[in-house]
Amino acid sequence: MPVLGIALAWAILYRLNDVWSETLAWSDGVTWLFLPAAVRPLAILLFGLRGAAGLFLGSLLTMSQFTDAPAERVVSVAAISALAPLIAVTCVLRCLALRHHLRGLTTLHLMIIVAASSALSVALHNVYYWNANFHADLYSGMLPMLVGDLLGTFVVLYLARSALRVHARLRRERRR
Amino acid sequence: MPESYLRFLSLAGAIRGLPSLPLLDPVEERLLSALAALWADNGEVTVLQAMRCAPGASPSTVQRRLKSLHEKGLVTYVDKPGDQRAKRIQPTPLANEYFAALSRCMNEAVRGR
Repeated sequence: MPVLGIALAWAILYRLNDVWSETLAWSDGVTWLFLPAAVRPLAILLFGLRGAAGLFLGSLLTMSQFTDAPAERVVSVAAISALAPLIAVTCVLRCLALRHHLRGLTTLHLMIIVAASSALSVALHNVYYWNANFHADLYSGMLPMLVGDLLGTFVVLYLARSALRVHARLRRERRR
Repeated sequence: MPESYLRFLSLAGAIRGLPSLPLLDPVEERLLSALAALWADNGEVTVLQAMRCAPGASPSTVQRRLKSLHEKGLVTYVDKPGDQRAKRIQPTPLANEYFAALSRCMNEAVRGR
């Protein structure tokens, strides 16, 4: 169930991103604001390997449905999209000794996890794009992709924070 | 309890702690509090009264901060009937919400929650 839910969340945010993708596009597939990036660390933090499977499926669906990329690129990008956050989040959680139910996770820890996940995802995507001759060089796509991933993640996190605050306020008012 | 739910609780706690942009700087906060006291006493406040109400701030500083409070949607200017030169400063609904939130925080702190 979480696998389908994550794939669906990825697909919805990917479609939503299409609204401004032309205006904010740096190149084909790279925009200065990429909302689905938020799903990567959150899915892994909540569901671990099942989260990675959901990311793989979601990326596979969106790449095959909404782009004309060849099958090999679709599978490779989907694999990077799932594996990069899985590796980054696992390593950071291990370094921070936060393996048991994320107990003790602070906002600063979350920021570190988001930064590590975005950085590894950007690095692996760019290595692949450069290797596949999709980008002329290794580095030029890194900055826009990193900015897009971080901005997209923070937009979604702040929306989530607003939703949590509204929920808390409604609960407080119901109790009165 | 499923592990995912425990993870969600920890994650929600971390998301709740995301920093907010400061709404007011200390001078604006002091000026707004002084204005609130005047509103409570007199019901209305002119720009001239506002310039005298913030201790330690010069009239030009108060004028600048009034402008920024206006831009942030916390105060509004209303013409005084019969005197077009004197403008009254009034709180906006956002300012009232701000005071209500502060009151709630104080009440909760007093109740030890």
